[in-house]
Amino acid sequence: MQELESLASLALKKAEKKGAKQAEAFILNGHMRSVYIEGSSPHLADDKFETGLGLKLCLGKRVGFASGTLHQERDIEKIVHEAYSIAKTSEEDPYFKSLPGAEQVRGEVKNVFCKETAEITSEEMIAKTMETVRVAEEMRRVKVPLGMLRLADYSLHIANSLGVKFNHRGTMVFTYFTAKATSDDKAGEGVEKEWSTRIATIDFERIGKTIASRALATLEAEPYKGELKGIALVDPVEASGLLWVIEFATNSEQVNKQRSPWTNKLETEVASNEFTVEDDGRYPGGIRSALADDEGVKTSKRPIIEKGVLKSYIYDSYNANIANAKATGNGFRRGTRSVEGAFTRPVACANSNLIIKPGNKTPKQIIGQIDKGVLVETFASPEVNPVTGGFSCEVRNATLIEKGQLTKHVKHALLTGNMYELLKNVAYVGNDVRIVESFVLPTIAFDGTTLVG
Amino acid sequence: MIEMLQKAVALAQKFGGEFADARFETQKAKQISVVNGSIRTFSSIERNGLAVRLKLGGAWGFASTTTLTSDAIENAARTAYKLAKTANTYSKEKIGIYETKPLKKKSKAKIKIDPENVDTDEKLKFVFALDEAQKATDKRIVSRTSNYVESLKNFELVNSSGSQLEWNEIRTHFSAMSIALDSGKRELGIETKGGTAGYELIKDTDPHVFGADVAKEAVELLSAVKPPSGLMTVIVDPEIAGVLAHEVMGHASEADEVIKHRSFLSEAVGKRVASNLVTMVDNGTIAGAYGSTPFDSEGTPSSRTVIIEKGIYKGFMHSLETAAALNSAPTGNGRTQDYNRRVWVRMTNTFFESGNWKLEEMISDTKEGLLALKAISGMEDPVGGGFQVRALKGYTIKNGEKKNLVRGFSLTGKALDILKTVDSVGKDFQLTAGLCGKGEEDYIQVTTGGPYMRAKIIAGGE
Repeated sequence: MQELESLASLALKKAEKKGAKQAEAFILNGHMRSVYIEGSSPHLADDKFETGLGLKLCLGKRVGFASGTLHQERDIEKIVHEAYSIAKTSEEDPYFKSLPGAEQVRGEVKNVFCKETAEITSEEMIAKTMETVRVAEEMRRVKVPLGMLRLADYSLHIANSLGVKFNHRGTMVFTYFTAKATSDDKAGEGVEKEWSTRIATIDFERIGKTIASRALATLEAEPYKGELKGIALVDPVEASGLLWVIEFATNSEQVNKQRSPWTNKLETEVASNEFTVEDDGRYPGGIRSALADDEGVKTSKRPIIEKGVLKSYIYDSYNANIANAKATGNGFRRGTRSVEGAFTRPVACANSNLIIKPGNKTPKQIIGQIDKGVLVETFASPEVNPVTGGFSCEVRNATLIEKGQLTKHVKHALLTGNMYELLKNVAYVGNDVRIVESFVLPTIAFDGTTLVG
Repeated sequence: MIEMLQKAVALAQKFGGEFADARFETQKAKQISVVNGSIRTFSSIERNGLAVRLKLGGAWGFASTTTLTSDAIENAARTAYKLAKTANTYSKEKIGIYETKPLKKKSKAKIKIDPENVDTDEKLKFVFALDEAQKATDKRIVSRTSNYVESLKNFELVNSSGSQLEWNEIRTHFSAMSIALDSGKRELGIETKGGTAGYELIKDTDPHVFGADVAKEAVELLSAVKPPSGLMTVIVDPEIAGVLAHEVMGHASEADEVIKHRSFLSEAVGKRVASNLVTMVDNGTIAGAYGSTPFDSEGTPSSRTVIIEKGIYKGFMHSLETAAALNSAPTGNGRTQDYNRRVWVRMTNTFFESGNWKLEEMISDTKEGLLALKAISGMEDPVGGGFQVRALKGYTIKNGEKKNLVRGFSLTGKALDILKTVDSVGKDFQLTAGLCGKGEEDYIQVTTGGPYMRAKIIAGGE
């Protein structure tokens, strides 16, 4: 870590020597390893090292950002020069006020770095992926054509000329598996993904069972004909794709630019009474959890929606300055599946960990209370127009719910609705909480969707 | 750097690699983003890295580093070997590699104006002009985003077949996005343009017209009505046709998916998969197209691959590995996002070829249906062959006339069912630049496109 601090300090000194009034250095050193399964066996294993610097250099209100991989000291010189050239030729940004100032960052965040994960051997990684393959292929007619396990062990250091100095070391695990089931002329896939900061929490056997059962269910699926208005019960992984509208609508960048439909909606009702959401940058084991965000602003737990009422927006320092608000520790560069290339990205306002408060029913108990609806385990792509809230997503693994029972598996149908309206019609929130990208959420039931075949 | 790459390949072979290659890549990019009249991002990236790839039995080992010393490179070759050796203990089948003749070439991007030689002021003026044009169009435009990106990649590649290649790729891309607001309702307008081109792409564009068109689109959509739902006659525009070509037919025609038994087209060669009006190709040699590249990341020259010819399925796209496995020839589709990403079969420019109908003729020939315009997103489904695309907007068609503007909707159905119902293919042809992911990552530059096409498709309004 000392080495990263020295490199950042050198970059800041060189920037200041060029005449920068303020500068910020973000240095990341990452060791990333992956195992890719293809055709039921490990097809490729990789091992990658990357060190890079992202430098923001401010000449008054003219701001330049340059980044690059670091191999030798001369690379820092080049990056500083590039950032300076950009700032010098750029126009003034009337909204830019200042980089974040130094503050005491104290406390502890549990389970963000895992020694066992950082030190696991490639042999063990390969063995774990093959456990999923073995379990899935115990089911007749099931093969695992595709799978992946990725680990990152990374250190980052952020420093700016106002005294911010922050170190963080974390681990990240992302895994993705697909099973394919075949029968006569039918074929279908079952998919599962998991995120964690600790390899020991990934249940490779469960993933194998899940992808196999989902793949087999597609063989029984019939094309859905007609139109079904009712409740959609959505798996946490897929629900995160739909609920991404909450991140969009509460993101101060979108609010400041009036793209968010929740602009000027603080203290108004935007969701059902039983729907509560927090942003918690220190959630134990959260993918982005750290004591500070990627510009060194301390993280915290913050109510976003409380019993349906919009309580606050999230801010990085740039957007906080525009809104005359305080930065909330929501300036990020790190992704949620890998940290590769994070130094090349300027800070963007984003959720740390968006926590959907769980209910007290299991998904099975919720199904028992639904008269008419559909359980969606996989969409082709759970995408929503964040500006309007409109969506119509093809369902890939879905089962009809009739009078409290799961009945027919269906396919070739679109689930349609408007997410901003559906948030006001949350029927049930499950108790099966999972970490999915920057979300911590359970299965959720939305009333008012339409399934169209 | 070529000498260091040769050393890496020699080491990889010495350790036991049956086939090895080493790549060095320099990426330089500049991005300008103007939001609501002020610069939001003005940034530059320069990344350099080296990767060693090694095949042993039935597995690959791959290692990359940004430290460019002899020790680091030797370590990368050794690590790649160890990884391949470990992974190979689980392999049931040996990986083959198509044997190529050694190729020694240097290639330079054919561009007219190198973006690096253009004054920053001129680039800023262009992006601000996009922004101002949107603002001036209508007071209901509440948010404007305008982007400019230039990228230069230099590649050096050495492999154990004796090839030594050096080439560069230069791309320019820009976009504008407007949001209109009226009575609490928000709508979006968006347009992009990109190519393997220099700054001439910008010089050939009037930013005032481009920006104003995007803003008008957002404003017009404020009065759009809900689209109809169900199975109906749909005329798709070149963008949506391109999504069908790329996401469903294209991904399923990547030979690695076939080998993994993950493609619904595995047994389709020689069979009818579409009406005889449908011809589809992947062509990485189109001058100026965003997905074009002189060589793929394994050093195979780009080519034109016919996937569907007059409705008959012809074949797959290949890397060196898949060509050997399926007893075919490599097609120049072994591509990778970055120096530190794996090579696998990827598309370049993938599209349906044009026919002989004018759009007006297609509309006047449609009793009742939907004209679907502008693809916002789409998703691959190589296993099931399912098609899903989100259209930004459309028009209802009644008795041969274009009627109401409708807001966003999705189109879905089985791709083969759709293609077999194609009964008219347009004259107008367009390619759209974009990024393609595989398995939700590994993003590469591609284009998708085609002509207007009419078929029976399920529509779902929002």
